[in-house]
Amino acid sequence: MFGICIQGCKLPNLPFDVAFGLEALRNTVHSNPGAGDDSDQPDSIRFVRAVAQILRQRSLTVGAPSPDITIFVLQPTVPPGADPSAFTRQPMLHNKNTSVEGQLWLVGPVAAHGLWTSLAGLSEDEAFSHIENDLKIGDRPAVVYDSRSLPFMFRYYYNGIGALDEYSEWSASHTRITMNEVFEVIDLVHRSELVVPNAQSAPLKLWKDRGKYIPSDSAEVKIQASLRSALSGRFPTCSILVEQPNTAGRLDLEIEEPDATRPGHFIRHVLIELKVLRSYTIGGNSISLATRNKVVSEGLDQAIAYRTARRTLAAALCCFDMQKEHSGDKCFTHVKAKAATQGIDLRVWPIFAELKKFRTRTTV
Amino acid sequence: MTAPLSGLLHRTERRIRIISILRWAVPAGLSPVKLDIVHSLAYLADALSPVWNLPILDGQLLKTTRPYFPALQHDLDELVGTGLVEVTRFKYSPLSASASSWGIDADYVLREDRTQPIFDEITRHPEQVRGMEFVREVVFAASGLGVEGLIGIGGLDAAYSDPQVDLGGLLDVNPELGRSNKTAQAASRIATLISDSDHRFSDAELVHLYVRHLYSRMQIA
Repeated sequence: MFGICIQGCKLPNLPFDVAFGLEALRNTVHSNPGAGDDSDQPDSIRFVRAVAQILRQRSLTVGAPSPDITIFVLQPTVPPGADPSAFTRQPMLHNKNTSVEGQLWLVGPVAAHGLWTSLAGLSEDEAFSHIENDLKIGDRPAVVYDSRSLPFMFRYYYNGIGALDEYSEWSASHTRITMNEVFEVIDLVHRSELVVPNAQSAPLKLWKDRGKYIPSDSAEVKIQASLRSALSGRFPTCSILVEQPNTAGRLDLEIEEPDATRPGHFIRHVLIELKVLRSYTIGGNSISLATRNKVVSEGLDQAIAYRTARRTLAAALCCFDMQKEHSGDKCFTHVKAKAATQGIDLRVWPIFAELKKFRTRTTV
Repeated sequence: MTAPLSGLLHRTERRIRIISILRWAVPAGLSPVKLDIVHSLAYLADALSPVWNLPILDGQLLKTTRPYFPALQHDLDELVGTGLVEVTRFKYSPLSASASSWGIDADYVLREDRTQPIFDEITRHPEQVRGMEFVREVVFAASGLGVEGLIGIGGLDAAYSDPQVDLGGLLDVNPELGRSNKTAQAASRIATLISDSDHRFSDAELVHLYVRHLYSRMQIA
């Protein structure tokens, strides 16, 4: 019989169907919501999401305030010049029972394990100075957790604590996500990545032929990927689901969060149905107004069906207008009443084929 | 011609696996990587390959106290010889407390300046990119086990710790068609839990959740 000692203790020789049985695996799934669900995201986003999950779990496990500040830095090794003996290695950082408070943590993108040193007795200024001047990692993305008083908050310094004014802040406990917060994220993505061809990076080219106003056939998928990335960073304790199958079809985007009070359950905050409005097919044939209206109607019906099937708290139909002449809110005229009755938000963003047209429009 | 070419491709795949492990060990905070951990990560990657529908590189190994692949070690030594991998620490030491057998103990790092052209080439091949992403997720997830957990992976992993295979026996994580190894089987069981949450797990989630389950086994200990 084979057994092995880890950390000085011999592992119990449980049968496979017990050690890896459905019940045991279900406990793991319930205790580790979101693990690996952001593998397509950049390291900086994975980092803030991993740390946010750890802090969320800790805030639920340790309700009492801690006298010291806690800092995580995306820096997986002891920085050159620093004393390695000042740091202790800690595996399984996602274990909610691992005490993280009052310590500086050096971690990788998924914060699965870390190196820590004590920050006990240091003020926020002193801790920041230590990171910036002694360790010289003030330019690395960092999360500062303040559990000194309720409500526990954490701040994400995406350009490091050397850029003190550049941060996003969240509560460590659950908060309701509003549709306006989601629209703010979409506004930002639209402005910075989608609105004009110059803003679109090579993998995000939305036009097949700009001169003829023909969108790429994968425009919707590209917009979806871009929004998923931005929403992942903006709501780090949530899973941003795409193309999830359900009884009503496959939803485009959904923001869900594990319900800490009921293991294995989720709070489904917001569901988004995406549609690209086109003047021409990929082959260059003109698309009629009736067909465009049908696309919008179908989008609304899908949003209603998915929200009902998944009991999502809020839903929206988000259209990206790539038509030769933008129609604005008029594209929703025929569905407005139904959307209002069903509580579905409607929003449209224009995407310009030419920078000149965009400038003219914004100047006007 | 087919067999030698297949052998060459197999060896190339194994070398890509090794440099991928060493590459992702850097952001994961595991670099320089101990020899035992290179083998543990290579084992875990093989055992979990079916979850990503990727081929298993070394399906059979002799079950000892920890995973060890002679062919992989040979390739690792050759990568050191070609200057793509560097040894930062080396010593000859007892393999167990009883000191009945001795072996090498070494730490490895990737020479990033020399391997960058290889990674540049890999990005041109979607299947290889997927393989790289898979190894990244295995290394990132497994880093949470820490050095002790990684070295002791044999006692944690579903297939390796299978009591039906005794020490000194042949462990096969690439069994006959129609069967799966117990590691992949456990990961696939996680996928069946979809009905609980109405949430379809991605391949990456299955890798992370499987390894997190190994964390919980360590905590039992």
